[in-house]
Amino acid sequence: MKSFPQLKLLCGVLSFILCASCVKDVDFDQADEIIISPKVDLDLVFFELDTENFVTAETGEAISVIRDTTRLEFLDDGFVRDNLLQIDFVFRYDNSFSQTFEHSALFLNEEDEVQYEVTFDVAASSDGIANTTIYTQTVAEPDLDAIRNSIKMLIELTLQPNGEPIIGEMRHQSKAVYSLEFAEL
Amino acid sequence: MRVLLALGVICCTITASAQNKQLLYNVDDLPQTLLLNPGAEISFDKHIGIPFFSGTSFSVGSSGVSVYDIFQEGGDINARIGTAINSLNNKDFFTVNQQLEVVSYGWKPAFKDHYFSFGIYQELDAIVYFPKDLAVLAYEGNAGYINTPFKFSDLSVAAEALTVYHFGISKPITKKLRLGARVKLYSSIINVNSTDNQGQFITRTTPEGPNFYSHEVQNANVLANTSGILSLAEGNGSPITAAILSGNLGIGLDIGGTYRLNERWTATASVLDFGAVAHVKDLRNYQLAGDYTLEGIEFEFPAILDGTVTTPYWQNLEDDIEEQLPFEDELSRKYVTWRPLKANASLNYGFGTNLYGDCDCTNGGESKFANNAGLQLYAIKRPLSPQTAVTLYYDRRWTDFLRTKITYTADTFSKKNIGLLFSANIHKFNVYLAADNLLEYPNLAKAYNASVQFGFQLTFDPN
Repeated sequence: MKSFPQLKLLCGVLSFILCASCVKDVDFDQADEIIISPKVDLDLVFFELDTENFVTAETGEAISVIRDTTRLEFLDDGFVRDNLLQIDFVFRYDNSFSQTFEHSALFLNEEDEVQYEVTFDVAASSDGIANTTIYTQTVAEPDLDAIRNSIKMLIELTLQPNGEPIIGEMRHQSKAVYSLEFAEL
Repeated sequence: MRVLLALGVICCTITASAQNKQLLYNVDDLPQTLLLNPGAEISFDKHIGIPFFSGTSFSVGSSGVSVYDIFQEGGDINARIGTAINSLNNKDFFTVNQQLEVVSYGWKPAFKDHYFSFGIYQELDAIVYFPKDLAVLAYEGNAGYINTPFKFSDLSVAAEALTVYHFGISKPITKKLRLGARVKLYSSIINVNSTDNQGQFITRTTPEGPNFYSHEVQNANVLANTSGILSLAEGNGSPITAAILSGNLGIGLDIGGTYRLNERWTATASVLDFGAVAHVKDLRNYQLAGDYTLEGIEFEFPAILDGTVTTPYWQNLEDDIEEQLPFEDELSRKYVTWRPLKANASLNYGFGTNLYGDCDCTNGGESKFANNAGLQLYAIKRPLSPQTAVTLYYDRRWTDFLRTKITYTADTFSKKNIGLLFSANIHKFNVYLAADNLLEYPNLAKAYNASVQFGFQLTFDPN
């Protein structure tokens, strides 16, 4: 049988290359440890109010409470519910009324039952120039379940009468920073 | 050799790339060289590829991060991912290319100088650019990037699997010049293409606005075209049928040539895959287009204003988004994709033993040296920018049996890419194996790219 020494040489070299190649010093099990933790900063609601919102046009009587509601469907989203770590709410009021207002942000479920509440006073203006109130509320575990159980947000403003004319303007801004964490990708 | 040295210096100033078959280029006893330059010089009169085994190539690359960079043992993998996202830019890319020759055959007609070749090969080619802005948005969110735009143009993906039927001819024009051309029929199996995306998302602070921010999608036009996927996903199609001849066809052309400058110096050049595929069947397009600005939900306190029921703010918001920023996911539009155009060039210097002898009138006084060294340039047109590579090589015919070629390549992936080709001829049976990035073989996890090519075929020597 004819021998091919060059072929043996070639096979030897190729075998060496193939045997010498490897993947080492890596640990693919670390993929289980990968955590993605974005923070999403989003506007929430805003509005502007003035005297007409708190005084009945026909009678001139004060309207002590006003409220409005919106659904927040993303709170019911499994993606958000499963990965939500914390919410930081920021509410801002610029109030030129001479009255103080009580702000309540109520988080409601489908049955309109209150799950979570953020309440604070909106400072009055002493000179007709807008007075700024900024209130932040951090919601983390275990209170976060209350937010997860919610689907609506209601904002209620309660006027605190002080005997002075109800004249002025009010501007509201709000936002929320959602801290999410995705693990076990 | 001073010319080579000068060109070597030039090469060090050029950055470069992949899908490059620098080890097979200009290897005149391999039929595969005709696929890289249809006007290449060849040293055989006929070739028959072993079906499905005559030519296999596979390359994978990442221009900015290696497997080791992310998955190395110990430490914090999340910190490494964060570092990688910060260090990569939107020009970094991940690429895969695979080719499989199904049929390969060629012959030189009796008493003629030209050479015909034809064949069929299957190719998979994909490039995914690192979508820097979108990756940062997904990984970190927008909170730390207020007033920073996230560009949709960072999303750029081109992937295709296709079958190529080709026929080529190579012909000496003069004693010094040989030209060749190859026509190709492309049959697309699967195509995914999302390039030329436009627009951006930005969260801007608005001190004079109604709310803290203005979340703006500006001039969005994000389009992803696919063909060949829908029927497979729905179980209505067969990839085998599509591989043989799909309804999405295209044509292309390779041209190339070899010019002998003198007895020892030879220049070559080729342009490959100048062609396009028309996608007309089994289509599914996805498009997001428009502008939208979100500043939150504006409460109207309607019960106070007019006594009506609660305004459906959320529904109105969703309706506005759908109207102004519609996402279409059931489109079926025809589209055309251009194949990634490739170009090769080389300058070769032959030295050492003249295998034709000092004077061999049967070969018209041509020379064929046992040793060859030179420079090769390679470029490929990619969606965002061309990628280039430069290679220095030494090619040696040791015996009639064994030929080797060693290359040094500088490209986008690496500046220390050493490659090696073995080509062995046992009578008419040829086997070759080529691999690059050999310095990374002790631990391929650290390699930014690696490629291997091998094949088995019959080649018939003129003698």
